[in-house]
Amino acid sequence: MNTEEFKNRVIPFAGKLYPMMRQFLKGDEDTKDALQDLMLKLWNKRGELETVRNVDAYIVTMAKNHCLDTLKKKKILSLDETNLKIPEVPAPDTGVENREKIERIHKVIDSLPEKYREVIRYRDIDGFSFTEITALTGMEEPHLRVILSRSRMKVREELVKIYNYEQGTTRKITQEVL
Amino acid sequence: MSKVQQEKLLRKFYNGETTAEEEIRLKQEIGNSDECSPEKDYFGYTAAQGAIPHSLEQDITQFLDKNIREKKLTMRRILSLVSVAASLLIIFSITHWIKETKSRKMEDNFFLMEQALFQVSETLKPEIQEDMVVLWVDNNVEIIIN
Repeated sequence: MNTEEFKNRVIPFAGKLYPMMRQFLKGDEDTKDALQDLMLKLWNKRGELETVRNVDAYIVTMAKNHCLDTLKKKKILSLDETNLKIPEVPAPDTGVENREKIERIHKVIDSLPEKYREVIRYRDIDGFSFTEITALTGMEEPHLRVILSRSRMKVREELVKIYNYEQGTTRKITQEVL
Repeated sequence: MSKVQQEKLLRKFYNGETTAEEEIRLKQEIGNSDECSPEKDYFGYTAAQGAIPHSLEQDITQFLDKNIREKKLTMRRILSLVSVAASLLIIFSITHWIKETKSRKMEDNFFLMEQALFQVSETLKPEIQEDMVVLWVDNNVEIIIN
């Protein structure tokens, strides 16, 4: 893999890795540093990347391990990976009401079972494909879709409970699916 | 996108059946609408959580370029050091070889001269005759009677 191929194939992946790595490392600066180190590691392993069957999953797994190594080095927290929760990222341009809604959604997702939280996070926040999530979680795609569906429904349910949205099409759809 | 299409996509979304492209389309549609909905709030939340620094890719590219350049420079420095060391070694070996050859040549010449002198001395040495009587032999004097 030459420099151009690497820039076209691997570097754009940084956008997907960033939110996931920030969940591990919390701060933006640490995340950026770790991401740069990871990219350098990947560059040094570019020969190996050509032989890997699923490059995306390989990169994601490497990113995850890199975060755990960074945490281990920094001894920030006990490395119980399963207890990782989504750190709240302040929303830009929002008023009090929007901020409150974001906090609510955050709490709802945090209250989901670990498996559900993980899947909804990977798909809706990080934007991973189902293939990548399968590689990350070990769950098969149909199972992932079921979990994702339940998680999304749960979030919607909680939002509808809290806020008085206008009775429109979305509510009917949810009821239908339920 | 019509309301019906949106409804259809939302149904797919809540069933976990949407593709990445469909989700992008849905997020755009709902995000642009003025209508308040749980989906609009949820998509706003995911966008905020998934936000990445504006110049992330550019920064990473610059970081990588800098590192690759530094690595190349280091390699070039190491290579030049190795070539200097190799040149010095070659010069030292040649000098040593020349010295060795010279000294061996001198030794050979000395040996040849020694052999020649020995042969001359052997030639000049008088033969011992049977009727000769050696009267006296000393470190300095030899008295012989025929």
